[in-house]
Amino acid sequence: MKTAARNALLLLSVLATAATAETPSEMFVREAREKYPTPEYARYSNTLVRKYARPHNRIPHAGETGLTWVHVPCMCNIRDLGGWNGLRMGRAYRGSQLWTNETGGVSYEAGEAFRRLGIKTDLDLRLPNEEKAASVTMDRIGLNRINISVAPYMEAFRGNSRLPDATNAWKQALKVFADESNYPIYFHCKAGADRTGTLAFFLEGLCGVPEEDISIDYELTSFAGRNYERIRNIPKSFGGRDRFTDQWRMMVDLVKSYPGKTLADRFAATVKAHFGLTDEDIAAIRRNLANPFPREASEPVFSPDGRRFAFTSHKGGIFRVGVFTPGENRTEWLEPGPGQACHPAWTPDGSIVYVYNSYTNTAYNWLKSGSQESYNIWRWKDGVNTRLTRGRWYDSTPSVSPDGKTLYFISDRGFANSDAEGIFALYSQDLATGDGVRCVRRIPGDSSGASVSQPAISPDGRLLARAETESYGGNWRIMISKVCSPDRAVCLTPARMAAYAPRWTADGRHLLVTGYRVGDPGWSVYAIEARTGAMQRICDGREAAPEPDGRGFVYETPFGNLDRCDFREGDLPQGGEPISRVLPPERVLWSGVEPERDRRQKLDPAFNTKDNEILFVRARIKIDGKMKSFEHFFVATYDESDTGFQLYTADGKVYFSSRRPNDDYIGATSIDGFPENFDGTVTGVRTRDALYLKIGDAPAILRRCREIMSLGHPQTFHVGIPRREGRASRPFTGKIFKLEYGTGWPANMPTDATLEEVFK
Amino acid sequence: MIRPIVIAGIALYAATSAARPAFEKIALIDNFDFITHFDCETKEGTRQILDRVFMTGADSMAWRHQTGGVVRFPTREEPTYLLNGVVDKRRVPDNRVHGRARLEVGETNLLAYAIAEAKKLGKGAGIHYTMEENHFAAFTFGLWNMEHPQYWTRGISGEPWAGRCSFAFPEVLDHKMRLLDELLDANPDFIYLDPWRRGAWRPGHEYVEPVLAEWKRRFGAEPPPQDPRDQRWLEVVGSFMERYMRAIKARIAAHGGRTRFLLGLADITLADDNMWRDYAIDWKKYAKEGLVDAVVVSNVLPGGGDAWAETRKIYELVMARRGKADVYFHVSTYDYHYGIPSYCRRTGEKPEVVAKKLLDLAHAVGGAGVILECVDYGNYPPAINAILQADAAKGK
Repeated sequence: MKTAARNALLLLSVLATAATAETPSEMFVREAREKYPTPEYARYSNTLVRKYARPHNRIPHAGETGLTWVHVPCMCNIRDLGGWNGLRMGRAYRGSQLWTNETGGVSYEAGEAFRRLGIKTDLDLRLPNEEKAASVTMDRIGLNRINISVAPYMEAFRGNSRLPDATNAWKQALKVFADESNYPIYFHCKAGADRTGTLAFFLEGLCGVPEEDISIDYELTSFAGRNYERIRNIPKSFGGRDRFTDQWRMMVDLVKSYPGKTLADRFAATVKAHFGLTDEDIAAIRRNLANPFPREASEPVFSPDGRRFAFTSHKGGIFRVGVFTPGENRTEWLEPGPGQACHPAWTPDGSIVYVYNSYTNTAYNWLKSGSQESYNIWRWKDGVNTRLTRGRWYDSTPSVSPDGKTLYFISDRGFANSDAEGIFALYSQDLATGDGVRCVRRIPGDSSGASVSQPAISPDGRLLARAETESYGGNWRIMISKVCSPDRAVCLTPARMAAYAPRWTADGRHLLVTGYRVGDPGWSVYAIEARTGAMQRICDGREAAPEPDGRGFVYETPFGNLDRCDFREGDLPQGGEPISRVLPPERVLWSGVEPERDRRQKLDPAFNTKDNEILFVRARIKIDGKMKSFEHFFVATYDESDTGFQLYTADGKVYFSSRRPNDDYIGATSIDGFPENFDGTVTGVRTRDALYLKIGDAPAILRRCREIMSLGHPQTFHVGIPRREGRASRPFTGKIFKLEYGTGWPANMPTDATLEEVFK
Repeated sequence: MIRPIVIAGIALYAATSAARPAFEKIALIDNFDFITHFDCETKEGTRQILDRVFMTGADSMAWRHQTGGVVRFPTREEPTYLLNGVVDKRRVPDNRVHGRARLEVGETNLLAYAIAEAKKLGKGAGIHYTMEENHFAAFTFGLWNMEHPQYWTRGISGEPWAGRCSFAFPEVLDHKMRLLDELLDANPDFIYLDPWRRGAWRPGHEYVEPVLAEWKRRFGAEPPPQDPRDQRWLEVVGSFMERYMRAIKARIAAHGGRTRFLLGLADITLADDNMWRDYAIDWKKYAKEGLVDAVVVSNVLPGGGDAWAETRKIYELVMARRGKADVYFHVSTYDYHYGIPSYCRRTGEKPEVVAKKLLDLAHAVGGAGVILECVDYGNYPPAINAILQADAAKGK
């Protein structure tokens, strides 16, 4: 009875589940889970199925590398053969024929999409008369067409009535992939399922793709139908392409019947025996398609001679630094000992600086032990590892100046007693001696997360690029300055972009960065022309390392593996106009002096335009002793908020705050507040999406906001009187000599540097 | 035939849930809060945490599924391999509490172990499922969020932000449900969905394609409002929140339906509008139709009058609107928003006096229990524990 009751409950729950409408994505994932209940599903769950599940993957930018099913009008089931499965990305694409469009003509958009993918050759696997069925040949959209008709599955080996010489056709088809000059290649039959699937089977097998992944690639066709616009004769669904069908199983069994140590060997034996391919053909196919670079790896960075690159591996949950030699396909590991190693960078003499922590026990034991083992900077030279920094804090993302003399790195040292958390500043020290440790750059203000990271010195040693964020609420952005004046920096990336990991090209003209802008399919490789800020998205992926010879770059694909890509025309922007920002000059709307404090001031209603202009408040004040208490010297009031923006002190710090449209507080905060007996000017500026606070001669503190601060000019404001509501403040105990309120950029607030200034 | 089986099933369900006390005290646990006292990455440390927590007099515990932006159990959804690196560039700034979570040296799935051990002790065991894999409100982010910028939330200006992905994207909902599936595999008595820990998210961060498309479907060419408190905007965002709630309910049902679904409510005032305004959560609707089994009032914000009178009024208001849902209140020594320390400041009363009044008030209005938000090594002092223990003895 108990079991019956349990079954009934299960039945009820199933009914309840069925009653809940599934989204297309939910349905896809459910089907995929049922179909692939394997560890591999879990392994690739962050990439494979979920990325394939995206129903509207279009090509918004040039250089799209076809991460998933690429949406091309009048075509279907198009996807990159590589990326996730050990094959290189952007080399070969599989898919369908090109149907005619609604007017019976050639789709311009399809041609444009293929141009953006950079595809050179079309391998058409259809029969000669098949192309006439509501389709056009791909030479019509500018591809170099090669027509080799083949038969699928077991017919590949024995032929059929229409293709009696099937094996020779397969030989010719496979040899197309042995010729480097054909790449990138698009191959297709009609719908991209059977003949195309059989060719993918051979190519993947020859290149060492595991059987599981070969099967998954074949099976993905079964899901292709749901992702396409229904026009003309494009198939609505592809059922039955799975590993359990006889046609697939027999083909796999045949390959496995051939001798060989590995599955790839057996594939090689098969195509040699049946199709007459030579060892040279097979080697060429593997050279052109297989990805020899490290998998589950990131952060490639080239040695000065360009012959090797260092990288971080995260295989098996352990971070290790390796050195990979392309050509030899050999990895040498730094092996400093047990623990975690990451973030490598080269020195000019061919040694590597990196981050290492030898501690391998739990956090509790680390805290109890008092161990000084922590994440510090180490150096690997001639097989010997030596420590460069020491301390129970985090040192990270090292790099070395081109002259080899100075080590740069970030660290949270010095912030242990701060209220804020996650603050990292940029430090330098003498690489050889470890002397002369100094803070090069820290983000002004006291916001948690305000950090500098990933310093990169230009090849000529003059410029310092890095990622910065002013708080957890902001996005990482790429800043550039002279090495000698790091605080006079220019932001190279737009406010609505997240970006990190800048790397200089060898000629010092461009930076490759990892970035995301709305509309991108995910993290992307961008190139920025440093002198102008002109920017170009190159491909999906991240952590791109330019090759010293300038031909291409190695990067982490969206599937977590390293791969190599050539620069294409237009990838590196040239000759853009330098980005510049013109700020309106200050215009004082109200000015008062000490006797006018403690009074509510009314602004001329004409000013109340709510137009998101730049507003500022500037107070010339004097404080006796140390300011500790909660005191306001300026509060602007609105209908929506009685504290629309404020300048005040509390807990020994100075605050300038504003409100988001929903009345949320947002503020810029000083780290140390007023110095004792402060006598000077405090200025707060509110722009459309940022707050600036400047206290005396100290650098301005910036706090960006993700939302527009939509309050315009206040109706009234108070000078030097306490806030009454909520947490009440005291009357301002200092002296206010002068208080000004106005629009525009105040003259005493420094502006950001310009690119002209940085490059002068 | 079906009918008797269903009745029997219901009876079986009732029998299994009978172990829950009439008035339940649930201790919320973030295991890394105990890092300086117990080795919280081991079974032994986990057991020590449970022993310590149940000294408070709690009947049940809710184990936090993540800490500091890192999911603290072996999961396919938030891969563990990146946990150990310092300041991973993809998730800088560092978001590990104390910088270390060595799951690869950990012994097992400690979340599942904690739940099993609590049950062995005869206690209730649930999961404190924060709405986002982040720490506190804002300052750390889960790995999945960092890996998927295409799903990040966006403000009205269009600026994306790493802190949280929008539930309006089906892929994000899928991720959340897969994560929930893994949590439900641990066989918890309840899932306590905590909206307050939501990555500083607000309806004003939902200017993303699916929400804008829904706005367009409802309101045509009219541009979306700049003020996210706009009722129509809240209704649009709320439709996605409701979809999220229904998805949770469906996953629970798919796992056998014996896990209760508790929904947290924070900062409740007499106006009772903040859950809608700040979270787009229409809790009264969910409670009315039985979508949630209980609501958990993790704090209230009394107005300017007598603190206890105001608190009682708010409690009664929630009870009046609870629909089919049970209601839990709180005895919270944390003061994130308005816990025992706030009452002490307001009334001048001692913490144990405040705790007793909060407990008595929850009883008086007919609450199903209280939560202890959160239990650290020493933040529930003996005087408060004695009150909670005495209440447990009274309940039995």
